[in-house]
Order: sequence, then C-alpha cells, then structure tokens
Amino acid sequence: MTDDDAVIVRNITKNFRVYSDKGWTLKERLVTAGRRKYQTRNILNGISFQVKKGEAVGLIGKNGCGKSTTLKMLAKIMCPDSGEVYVQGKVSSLLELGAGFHPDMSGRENIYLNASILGLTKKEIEKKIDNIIAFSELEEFIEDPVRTYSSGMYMRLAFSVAINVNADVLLIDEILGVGDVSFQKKCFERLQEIKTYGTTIIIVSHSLEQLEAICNRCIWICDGKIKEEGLPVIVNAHYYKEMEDQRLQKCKKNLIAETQCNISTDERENSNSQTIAIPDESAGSIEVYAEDTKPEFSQNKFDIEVPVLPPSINKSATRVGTYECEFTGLYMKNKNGNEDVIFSIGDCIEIIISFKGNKVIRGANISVSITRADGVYCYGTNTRFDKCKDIEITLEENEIKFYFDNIKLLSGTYFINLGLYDSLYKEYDVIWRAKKFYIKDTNLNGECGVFQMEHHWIY
Amino acid sequence: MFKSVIELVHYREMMVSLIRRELRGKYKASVLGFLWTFLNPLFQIFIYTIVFSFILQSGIEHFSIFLFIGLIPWNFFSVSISSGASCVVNQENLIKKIYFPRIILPISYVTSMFINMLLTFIVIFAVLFLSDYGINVIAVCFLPAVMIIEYLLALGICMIVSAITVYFRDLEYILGIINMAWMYLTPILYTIDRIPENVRVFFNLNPMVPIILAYQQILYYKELPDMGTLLHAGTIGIVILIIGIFVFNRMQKKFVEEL
Repeated sequence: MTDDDAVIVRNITKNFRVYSDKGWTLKERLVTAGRRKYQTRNILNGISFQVKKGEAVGLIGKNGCGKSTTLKMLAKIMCPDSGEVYVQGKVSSLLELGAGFHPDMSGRENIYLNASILGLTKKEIEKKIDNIIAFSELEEFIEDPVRTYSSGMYMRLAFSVAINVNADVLLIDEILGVGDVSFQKKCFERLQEIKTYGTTIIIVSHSLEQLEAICNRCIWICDGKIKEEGLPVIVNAHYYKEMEDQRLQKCKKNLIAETQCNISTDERENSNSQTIAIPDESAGSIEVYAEDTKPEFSQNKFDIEVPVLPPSINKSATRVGTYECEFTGLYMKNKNGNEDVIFSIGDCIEIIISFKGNKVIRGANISVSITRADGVYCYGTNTRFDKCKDIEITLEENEIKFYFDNIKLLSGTYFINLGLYDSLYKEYDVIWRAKKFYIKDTNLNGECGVFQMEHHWIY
Repeated sequence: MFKSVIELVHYREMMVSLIRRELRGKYKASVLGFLWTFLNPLFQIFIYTIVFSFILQSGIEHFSIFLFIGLIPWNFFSVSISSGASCVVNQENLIKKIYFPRIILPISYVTSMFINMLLTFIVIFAVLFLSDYGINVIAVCFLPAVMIIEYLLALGICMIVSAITVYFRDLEYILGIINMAWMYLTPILYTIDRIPENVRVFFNLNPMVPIILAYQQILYYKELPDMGTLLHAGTIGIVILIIGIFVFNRMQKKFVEEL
C-alpha cells in the first residue's frame, strides 16, 4: 500500500447463511440440533479495487448485489470470509442516520450522542456543534426533545451531524435523499465541498445523476463481482441500459403471461359453450332493438352484452360499441416479423388487426391510435382520414395491416386503441387500451415530451 | 490488546453518551423521573421488611438496615446480568450500521447501573445517619474497594452473557430464573450463620457471597472487612472479567450476521 492509496480491497468474498427457519429458542435448537437448514448465499465473489486519496468512487448495482456489504466491510462492521481490506486514515461511515437518537432527549443532547457514536471526542463535538446546528437550520427547536420533530426535521438533524464528521475516508450509503429539495441541494454541495478538502469518498447511490456529478469513477457490481469500472458517465450508461432492458423483459414476460392467461380462460369459457352462446344471441336481439330506437353514434353499453375480449387483447381493455362487427385479434410485430411489445425509437411497428361481422357491412372505417399510460392521447388516424379504399366487413375473419414506419415516440409505456366505425362514425367496436407496448429509453442525453421532433440549431 | 485499549480511550465520549442516555433517558418521560431510581428500592425494602419482620420473622436486629445494605448491591449485580444480557441485542441497529468497539456496550450498560447504585448509596448513608445507626469511618474507607470488585465481577459476567445472548436468545429468560435462585443463595435476607458449616464451602463458591459479606461487615457490623474475604472476592472478580473480555472478543466477530 503506497501513501496515496486510501483504500485497497483485494479479492474479498462473503457468504451469508440464510436459515430457512431460524430457530432462536432453546426448543428449536434442541429439536433441530445438527440439522439446521440453511442455504449459503454468495454475496461477494472476489471483488478487488483501489481508491486513491481524494478520489470519489460510486458503487452501483441492483438491490442485493453486494454494494452495501462492500461498504460494511470497508467500515469494519463485517469481516470478509476471504481476501483483504486495507483502509488508511480515519473512516467515517454514514450508513445510518440518527444512530442512537433518544426521542426524549433534546436536539442538542442527541447531537452529542450521535456524534460520539460516530467516534468524535467531546472536544471535537464542542468545536463543531455550532456548525452542525446551523447546517440543520433547526436553531429554534434545538432544545426541544426530538420526538416533537417532524420526520423531515429529524433526518435533517441526523444528516447534519453525519456530514460534519470529518474523516479521511467517508462511506455513504444512500442517505442523500433527505429533507426537502433545498436541503438536499445543500447536502450535495456540502459533499462536494468535503471532496475538495481531499477526503476520499465512497458512495452507494441509485441516483446516477448525483454519482456523475460527484464521482471520478464508478464501479458496477453485479452478482458479487465487478462488472465494469470507469468513468461514471460511461459505466452508468451501460448500467442504465441493462437495467432498462431487464425491466422491459420482465414487462414483456408479464404481458405474455397475461395473454396466456387470457387464452386459457377463453378456452375454459368455450368449453361451456352453452352458456356463452346464450348471451351472444341475446346481444344480437338487443342489437336490433337498439338500432331501431336509437340510431345515434353513442351506445349505451348497459343495453348491450359486451362480447368477450379476444385473447390477444389486454384484459384491462375497455370496449364500447354495437358489435355488429367486432375485432377478433391484434398483434404487434417488430421489423423481423416477430411478435414483440418492446420497441426503440425509429423502429418500424407492424400492427395486424383482424375483425369480422355479424352481417356484411360496406364502407367501414378502422382507426388506430396511441395513448400514453398516463392517458395522454398521442396520435390517432383512420382509414377514412388516410383516404384508403373502403373496407368491406364480411361474416368471415379479415385482416388488415397497419405500419408505423418510423415510430418517433419517446420512451415510456403506451397503449394501442382500436376503433371500427361506419361511414358516419357510428361505433361498431371501439377498444381502448387494447395492447400495451413499451418504447425503450435509448438516449440518455434526455429529450423529453411525447414525440421526437425533427429540429436543428443555428448559431 | 494494546490497540483496542487505545481505541476504547478514543471512544470514551461514546461511552459517556451511552451512560448518560441510559440514566437520563430511562425515566425522562415519567412524571417522577429520576426519583424512581430511589423509590424502587425503597418500596422493595418496605415490602421485604414487612414480610420478614412480621410474617416470617428473621430475628435479625435492625432488619431493614441489614436488608438495605445487602439488597442495593445485589440489585446492581442482578440487573447487570439479567437486563445486561440483552444490551448487545438491543443495540442491533447500531451494530449493523456503525463501527465502534462493541465492548463499549456492556461496559457502558454496567457502568450506568453502577452509577445508579452509587446514587442509591446516598440514600443508604442518609438512612444510617438519620436512624442514629451511625457508621465506622475507617471501615467505610474500604467500601470503594468492595464496590470496584463487585463492578468488575458484574462487568465480566455481563460481557459473557450479552455475547452469548446474540447467538442464543433464551439466555435472557433463563437468567431471570437463575437470578431468582441466586438471590436466595446469597445471604441478603438472612445471615450467613444460618447456613450449616458443612455446606458453607460450596456456598462460598458463589462469587457474590464474599462481596455481600464485605458490604455487611463494613456497614451493618461497622467493622473492617475480613481481608481474606476481600482477596477472595477480588481474585474471582478479576478472573471473571478476563474471561469475559476474552469471550466477548471471540464472539463479537459474527455479531452482525447473527443479529
């Protein structure tokens, strides 16, 4: 270890024993003696890194990947099973705010208590207490017992103590999101100030922005190993991309599971074909009645039995119409012709819509529109707007394909809505939120809004 | 070893803070507050005096004073091991999140209880003066030595039991029962003469016997303590403390994972 190294971690590993049923009591110990079941969970699997003095390093990774465990080893709270940890200088670990606070003691007394637990001597505390109180902005309340504090005030006091503990190496675990916005900003500035004093900082955070602003380097830990190490902007971008991919994959899986569930319930219902046939017939008879008495566009959905949604359509979709003709399927495919629900900006999306009628209808109009998950109506068009040739609906199932050649939606969750109208926009079948899809976040630089618009700058 | 002593010195303020929190925080929300420190033993003595003076007559002169002198040191010892057993487990949050020498926890707990006892001794002296019972000034000079021996013994046992409790939570409850028996095996409610000579050897294995006897010699019998008794007690105290430090240090490494 040379003089300008602050932290050296060499090939540390750590296993936790996870007891399936932890027996604390005498009875359980006696009964299960010698055969206590536990699984060994490998948390860290050979991590090595070095941190130079004055450097700020961020640890990123998904929950449970071992970031906090690494930090605990640096703080000497835990020992590694194998490997070595060297830390040079005084370590201060801000893993817990307000350690040891006693609710019935005053703010001032708790500052003493908390600071002493963090390893400060009385003299040091006395030197700092004014700064701490000033930083917390709690001058008026400092003599009140902390149980009278709001939770925000409590955290502010706790953070003020923590951030004013001077150390050579500062370990921080996700505690920057404290207090109101202005206090957060203040904490962050204070951290940057500490950094300029030459304090080595190792920080665990899920706020990639914060890490980019303060760290010289980021270490991405994945499954107990270092996956990538380097400039925060680059590592974070890779990390972000992977997390986003994983999230979308999970969404897709859920969607597929949901669709399969749809299909299976559909089959079940079909097997009771007797019961399903009756409402269909009655729907037909009401339809006639409805057509005779009120030929308006809007349909009172209480009068009409809503047909079962096709399995390829989201279960949560809502449907209105007269159902003289109806949609029977909706599929989204990517440019390779495979069914997909995750797309990137600029992709071509193929939408295959199938439908059939109870009678032959000429001059029907089919609409496709997109709403964002929060309800913002993004875009809509129909065959009439686009001056397509008339659509003829027959008793057989027909198919129509619709293409978004170059989707310009920004990242987010969206829904496809479908509509089937006659030439006067009478609603035969309108399905809202028929299919959920995602647009991947590919540009970290961050455009915001609904659409990507063509633009350029001139200086 | 030397290094950990330096570390303890560095963390002295934490010890002071924890002791202060223990003493002041305990009764902070109650109306009578710190007064309870005195009221509790006073009522305890009142009850025992009634039982043993009127119902189960003990035949000891000035029974309440005899009882007072034995009971206050016993209470300190008993709370140090029964409640002291959970002093590490109760600070789970601190241990999991912050580094500090873990041994501070039993030290500060036992010390705060010790200070509690010292304060109660003010009441003992007040009673001795007010009741014209009087004290032997020379004998009282030995009192601090007896107290320190008791402190070391209590600390040693507290370290052992608080460390074991982390791994075996039943100990806390088991100790409650042991404590009850232990009290009756210590001459607090009766004089040592009641114990037949032939079993007294076994009786003396109880480390609290020489300590309580020394308190009684100094304050009740107003005589100098028997040096043999004192030496006996001191040796046991130091040996147990060393064992305690050793056990605690061995067991503390896995505290975080076991809590």
